[in-house]
Amino acid sequence: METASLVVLGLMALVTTLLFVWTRVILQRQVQREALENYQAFGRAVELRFPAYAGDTRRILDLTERLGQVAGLTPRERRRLAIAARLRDIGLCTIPYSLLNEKPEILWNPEERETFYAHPFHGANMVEQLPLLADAATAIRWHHQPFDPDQTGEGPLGTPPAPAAPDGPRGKDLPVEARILALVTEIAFAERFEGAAGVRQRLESGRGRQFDPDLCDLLRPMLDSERGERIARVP
Amino acid sequence: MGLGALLGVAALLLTAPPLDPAHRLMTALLFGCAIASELLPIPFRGTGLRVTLSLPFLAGIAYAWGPLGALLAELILAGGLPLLLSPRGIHWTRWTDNLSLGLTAVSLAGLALVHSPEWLSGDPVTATTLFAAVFAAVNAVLVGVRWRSRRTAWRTPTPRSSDRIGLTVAGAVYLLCAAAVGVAIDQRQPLILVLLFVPFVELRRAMLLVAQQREQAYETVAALMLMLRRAHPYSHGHLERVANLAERAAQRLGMPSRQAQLVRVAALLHDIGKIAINERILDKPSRLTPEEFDHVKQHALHGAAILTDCQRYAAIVPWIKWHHERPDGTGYPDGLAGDAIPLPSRIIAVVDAFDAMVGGEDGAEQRPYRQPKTIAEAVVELEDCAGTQFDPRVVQVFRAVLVEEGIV
Repeated sequence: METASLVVLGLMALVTTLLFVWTRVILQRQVQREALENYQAFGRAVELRFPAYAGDTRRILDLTERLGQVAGLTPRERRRLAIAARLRDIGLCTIPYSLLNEKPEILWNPEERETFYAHPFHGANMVEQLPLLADAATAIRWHHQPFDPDQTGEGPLGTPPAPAAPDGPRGKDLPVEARILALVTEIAFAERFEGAAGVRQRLESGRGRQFDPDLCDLLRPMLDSERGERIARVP
Repeated sequence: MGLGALLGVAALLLTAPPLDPAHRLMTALLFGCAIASELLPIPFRGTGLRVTLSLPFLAGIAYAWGPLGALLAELILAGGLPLLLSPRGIHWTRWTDNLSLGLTAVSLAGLALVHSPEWLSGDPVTATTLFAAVFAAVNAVLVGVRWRSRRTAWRTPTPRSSDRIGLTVAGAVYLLCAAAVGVAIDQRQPLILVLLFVPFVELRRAMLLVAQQREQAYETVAALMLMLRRAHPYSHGHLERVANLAERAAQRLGMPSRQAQLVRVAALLHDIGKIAINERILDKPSRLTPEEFDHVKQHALHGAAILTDCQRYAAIVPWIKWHHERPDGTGYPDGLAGDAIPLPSRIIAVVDAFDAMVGGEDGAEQRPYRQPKTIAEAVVELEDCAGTQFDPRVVQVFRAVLVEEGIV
């Protein structure tokens, strides 16, 4: 072949390679990063409305990501989990401001509890309207659903546990993302208010009842190794 | 434009050599590829260029079958194919437009080929590249002319410099593809033609990702507004209208179109901080106590905080934070004065106040503690407060926008 032809073909090959790199590596990552950034805005809105309630965001995001990896979720499920973790409390914007800001949970009457635990459904309904986010709606809908509604124990700080929607899925029928969220959100809350001993107790008492037992078994060593690291760092 | 097409076609028919039967197989293949590429358009909004890969193949036909062959091919691709694909959905003006544009470009490119020296038009690689270059140039000029003639003063976006760079790169790659087609003809390697679809399909995927990016940004705004509406059902049914007025005002004040679009988003999201405000206070039918007012004032800071993470809207954050600032320095949260307040914030202040006063188009969405004013009264109020609460130039421009929109 003449040199001119070779040059043209060589350039085409180069351009094609660059194009692939740009699309699959740079652009794709940029789009996904931007998506997660945007979703953080919703979480922030909820945090600003209910600052006392929503202080564990970073911890929850971190734990859900690691637990999702360890639990062997597919990339698509992990992505759904990441979105659901950030949007799970979007429905809280329908809850009256005074309920979560002025009245501690232990003093709520049944009506108020019902109002509060409607938020996963409100959130899921909102999210369903947005085509790019609708994937995560199911996980959001059930992110407070107990694993086995027939034998749930106590909630954090002695409150009644999250009520089960009567016709909702149970056990392994619950989407794995929802099971992970149910576990991680409770544990993060317990970490803040009940300390390490409280967390251990909650994991034990909730295993198989409120929480998926397999997920508990995966989470416990993760928390233990963290604690070990923290202890090891003390001089 | 139709006239130009006719002239061009006539000139070509008169001067071009008869159809060359030599490369029959290659021509058929090129034609097939051209049709295939017409079925995979790239959604490339904003510039109006018809982006399909058919041009390189068309250039190949111009060499393999002669310029008249390219003319015939373009007739089929731009004329016949759309008719075939969607016989009922044809937009006739657009069809004639595209057809005459294509024919003009083909004719001029063909003429260039016919009247260029042998060393240029004899070699397949240079011939195809030349054809493609002339076609693309003519196409770009004509599209620009058509675009400009339809343009009203402030509606059309002007391409940014990054768009121009992107277009130049794309143009260069296009010519490269045409050259590759020439190589395929020269070396009798039809495989090269097929391989050209690989980068093309990938480019299409890239453009779809870019479109997804834009869709995501839009959905974020929509979702935040949805949250606000769920938290405060009585507020901001008028947000879309406010946003449109804000964008018009921004354009009239000389902002580049891209920035005006951001102003529109800022207008949609300016009260998003109210998600974090107690609804009982916001909907209180009587006057607010100082503490309650302080609580409500936080919404400016909350709004800015909510959007802090979004890189795409980073510019909007200060605009939202300061949309309650006043030129006389008595605004909140920071008490900025005069030109220290960014122009978009000044625009949003005017537009928001206007809409609050008027209470929506039919007066249905009223602030609970004020009677809605008529539009004329609201404009008078704006002008009264120009200089103290509102920027006088913004008020002036806003009034002009209202007149333009037929609202006043």
